[in-house]
Amino acid sequence: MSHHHDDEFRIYSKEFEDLHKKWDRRQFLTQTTLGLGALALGGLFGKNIPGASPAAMGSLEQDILAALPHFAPKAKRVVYLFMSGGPSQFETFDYKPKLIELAGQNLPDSVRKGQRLTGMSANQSSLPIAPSFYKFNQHGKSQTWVSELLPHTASVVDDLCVVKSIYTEAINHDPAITFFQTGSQLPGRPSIGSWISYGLGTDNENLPSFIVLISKNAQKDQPLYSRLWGNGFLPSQHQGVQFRTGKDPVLFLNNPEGYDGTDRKEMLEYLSKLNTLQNDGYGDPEVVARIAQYEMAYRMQTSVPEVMDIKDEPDEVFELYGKDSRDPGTYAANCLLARKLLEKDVKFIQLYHQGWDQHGSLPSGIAQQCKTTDQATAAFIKDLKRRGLLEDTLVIWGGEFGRTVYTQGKYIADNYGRDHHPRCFTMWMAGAGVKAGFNYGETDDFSYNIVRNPVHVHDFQATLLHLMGIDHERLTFKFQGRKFRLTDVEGHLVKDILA
Amino acid sequence: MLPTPEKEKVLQFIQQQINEQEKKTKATADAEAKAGFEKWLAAGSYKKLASQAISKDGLQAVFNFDNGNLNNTINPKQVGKMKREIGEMKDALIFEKKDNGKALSLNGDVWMDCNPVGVFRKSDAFTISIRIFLPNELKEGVIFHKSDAERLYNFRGYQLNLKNNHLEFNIAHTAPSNAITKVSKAIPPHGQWIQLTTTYDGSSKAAGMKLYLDGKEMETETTMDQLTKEIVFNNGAEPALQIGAWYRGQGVKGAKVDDIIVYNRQLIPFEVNALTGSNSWVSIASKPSEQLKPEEKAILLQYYLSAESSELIAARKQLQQLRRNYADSAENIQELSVMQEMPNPKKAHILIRGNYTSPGEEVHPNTPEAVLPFPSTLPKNRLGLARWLMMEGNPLTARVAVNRLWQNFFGMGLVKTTEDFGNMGQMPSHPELLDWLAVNFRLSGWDIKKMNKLIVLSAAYRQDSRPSKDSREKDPENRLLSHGPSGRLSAEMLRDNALMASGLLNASIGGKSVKPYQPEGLWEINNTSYTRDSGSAVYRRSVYVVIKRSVPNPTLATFDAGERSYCLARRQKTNTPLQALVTLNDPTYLEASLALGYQMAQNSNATEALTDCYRKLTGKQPAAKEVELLNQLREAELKKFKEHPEKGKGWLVAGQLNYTKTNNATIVAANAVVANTILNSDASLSKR
Repeated sequence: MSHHHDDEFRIYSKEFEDLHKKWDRRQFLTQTTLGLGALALGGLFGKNIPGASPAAMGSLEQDILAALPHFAPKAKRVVYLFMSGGPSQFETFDYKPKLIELAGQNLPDSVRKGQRLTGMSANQSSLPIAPSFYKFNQHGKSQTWVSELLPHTASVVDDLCVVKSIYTEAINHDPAITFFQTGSQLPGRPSIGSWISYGLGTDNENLPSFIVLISKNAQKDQPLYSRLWGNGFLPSQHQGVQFRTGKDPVLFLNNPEGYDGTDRKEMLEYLSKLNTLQNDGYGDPEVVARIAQYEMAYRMQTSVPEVMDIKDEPDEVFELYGKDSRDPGTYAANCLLARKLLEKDVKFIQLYHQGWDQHGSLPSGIAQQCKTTDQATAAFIKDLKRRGLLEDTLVIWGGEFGRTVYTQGKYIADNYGRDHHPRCFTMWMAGAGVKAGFNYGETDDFSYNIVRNPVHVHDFQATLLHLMGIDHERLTFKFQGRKFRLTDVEGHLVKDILA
Repeated sequence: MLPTPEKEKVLQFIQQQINEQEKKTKATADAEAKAGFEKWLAAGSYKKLASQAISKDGLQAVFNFDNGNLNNTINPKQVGKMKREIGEMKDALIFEKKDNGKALSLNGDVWMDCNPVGVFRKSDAFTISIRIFLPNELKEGVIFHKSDAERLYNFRGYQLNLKNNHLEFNIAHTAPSNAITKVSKAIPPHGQWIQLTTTYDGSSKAAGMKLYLDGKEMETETTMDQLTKEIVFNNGAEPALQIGAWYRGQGVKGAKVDDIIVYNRQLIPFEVNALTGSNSWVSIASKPSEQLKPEEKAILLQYYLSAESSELIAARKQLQQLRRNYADSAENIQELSVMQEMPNPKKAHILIRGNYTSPGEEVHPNTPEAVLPFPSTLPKNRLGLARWLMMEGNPLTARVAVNRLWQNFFGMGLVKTTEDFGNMGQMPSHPELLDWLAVNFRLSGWDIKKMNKLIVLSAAYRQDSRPSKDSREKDPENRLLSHGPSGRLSAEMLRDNALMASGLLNASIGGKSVKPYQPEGLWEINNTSYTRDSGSAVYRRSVYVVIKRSVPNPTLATFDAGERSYCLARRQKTNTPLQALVTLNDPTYLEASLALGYQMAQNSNATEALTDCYRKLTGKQPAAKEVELLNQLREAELKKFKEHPEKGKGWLVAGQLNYTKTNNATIVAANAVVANTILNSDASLSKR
């Protein structure tokens, strides 16, 4: 086996060899973490990526990266509109008219089938059914059902691929959002954007390839964590960089007061010369790389404020996105900013909008959430479409789980709450590579269980990577003795939704 | 608890007073049982009890619902309310006819809040009694409690709970561990009215808790007996006694309750029985003292000691006050969580596909035999594991440890996969050296300092770190140790080096974490806020910087400090533009540069000044060409700031330093730029 190893010091070991002899081949393949993948990769060892320094990168990593993309990508960029908190499917996309006659009645055990509930409602003595307080209508050629809370989104349904059968394994916010963003409920794995940055690099020399935006005008009900856009065990240049409103859009971007770009440039020229002098005799490629990183930092100091400045957009654009879009940091302004970043070929934009966690007073709460986001979301789709960006950009909308058909607390027709529901919920995708005006998956009359075409979080992640030209099983990173990937050991491409 | 030495003395002092007072109280009781009691008996004072259906002494509340309301009949100003998770629930007030009066029906979600009745501290004795009808199918649910929420939310207060169909009486600071808990051995009768009484003596000991069913003490098992801190919240929103349900917990669905009675005293068994109505004082209290039977006298003695002896009451009050003093003093003492072996460890199973609801095969503690079989003489717990790890015959521990020390200095371990010595890890580059170091380390008594010294004094470490052309080609990773080690400093070293070089470092050891500079608004994403420290705390070593896993400190995280979501023995070594922004613009580094700039300005010999600064930041002398270059930079900046003072302004204010008003401000600013340039150069960032 020793010839499969990627290091000269992985030398022959008698014990290891004996161990193999004791097992037959099949056992070995299934019982060791090396498995088939390692054998298949064995033939690839020895290839080199030009420019990559062998000291910094093992040959295994080089081989994995050299093979990318695995096939022609449909999407060059991704924008993920993350609705943090878990938006209710009942008041948005999953129309359940039969619930009206069952209002206030206890959820039948035949539906729940004894499945676990959260600690917040598991001890409730009854689980009264709550139909949507809001009306639904069919829209567009696709005749997609959309609630009256989302009139603008309803106007672009023919561009959306609405998936009503997403399901997750986690039932609480932190593990659920971490699962969606990193493929594991436990913190510490790289975010989707980090995997993409690691696998595909950047198309823009002046901006990070993975950028994060957070709405300031959202109910801060459930927390976010910067580890959600963390690089995990991947090199840290692949971490998401949060663009913030205010004077320092990227941490430490601003020079000392009064010291302008030209001043900085002059200083950096001296620094570059100093570094070159110091590297004399060492010839360390890391120093050369660092000089380049300082140049990139300098370019970011100009390009970031430039791209974040939306002042010069025409009035018509602000009207399209809604009046909030003039106020930096709002959801609408962030959507507009996301479009500008896409125009600069930023690969992955992760936008967070909190406030969807309506355990109580859901009718008023979700109405407010929809009002804050609906127009800008639809405007974003329209804007990308007319600029031709939707053809090679994938837009994703969704939260970390859905909500329960029963009310948390007392049922009153216009004032109820919903608890977390991981077993089914709705997301949509739009743009590059996915079917437009398409509905996929189906839930039962209670939107409690999926009856057709379930899509697991890992399936969604596999499909996302596929659209970017990545085979989710082949983008791996070896860490602490194991090869990790975004989809862990699962995930199936959802072919039915591909255009 | 982790008291400071002074606090510990205070606590010891109060504890001693408590011990003495406990003895004194006991002596008083013994004395009173003779003289005081006889006097009381002879005076016939007990005869007043004849008119009392239930004892009046210490009675705080009776809720009997007979008038169709939630009034406390002892104090009509106090009226209970029906509540649930959000808001008041007037419509959940449902009474049922019972005997000649009424009882309250419960749905398991809504509770009766008796506020302000039933607020007791752990030093207070109390008795709470309730009649309840438990439906046949009910096995779980809270009967009454004083708390904000159930156990999932750090239960604090007291509770009587139907758990796994047994009665659990629990008094807690934080359930389940900082608590006293008793569980009934019998299952209480269902489908009929029963009467339950709990009494507590204020001792913070499980022995001071009693549980009665229909006036008879129940047999119980003590499942926890360590209550060290207060059971009230003291937060201005003190919860009180609540009946039948709780926040996000299970209530007694379908149960009915009646006759809720609260005393601020531990009733004697006879009185508890009287609450059920099956005995009364009349038969005893109406007799002349000479006709009292011995057992009747014994009951009266108990009563006298519980409620009438003024001397004993005073002694108990004193004891209660001391216990309160102790609790108050202990309140703000820091606590440290420690793992404790359970008397009966829980069974562990393989969880199928990681799902906690799918237990598979049962597993038992053991260690890999291939490393070293676990000796039968060691206990199979954490202590045993620790001993096994340190056994002479264990080949792993010392190797793994010295390999990490080696990695600290050489940037790479002799086994490159520091975290993995298993079959997915790599073989050592120098196996004999690793073993020699490992054995030495063990024989030295695991002396880390000695091992570090051995490594840094080695010929291998002291080699020139400039690789020859030959070794650059043949040994690019320096695994053959063909030249001296080099590498970028870690996040913590970088910050500490800047603080040390600039003279700002606060080298004090120990104490709590510090909050140095950090851009505003970072913690807000999870609804917290960061208030940075001021003064010298800001300059403490990076090892003391507060760690928040969900929002890591960017000054350190940008340079690959671990996020601490998992154990990390080997960090990434990245080289990114964001790192450049940190050392160029983070106030941590600007302040260090400014401090150095100020020091340089004190020396009229510019070359000497910058050489000194260079030496402080890098630990070596600059080459002549570097001095020349840095002098040019200094001149250029000086000229710039003289012509445009506004350009230098930002360099004079950083962190807590402000040299705007210094005479030679322009020179300070120019020197700060020079210092920052050196700080950003390879000689500072890397060890060579």
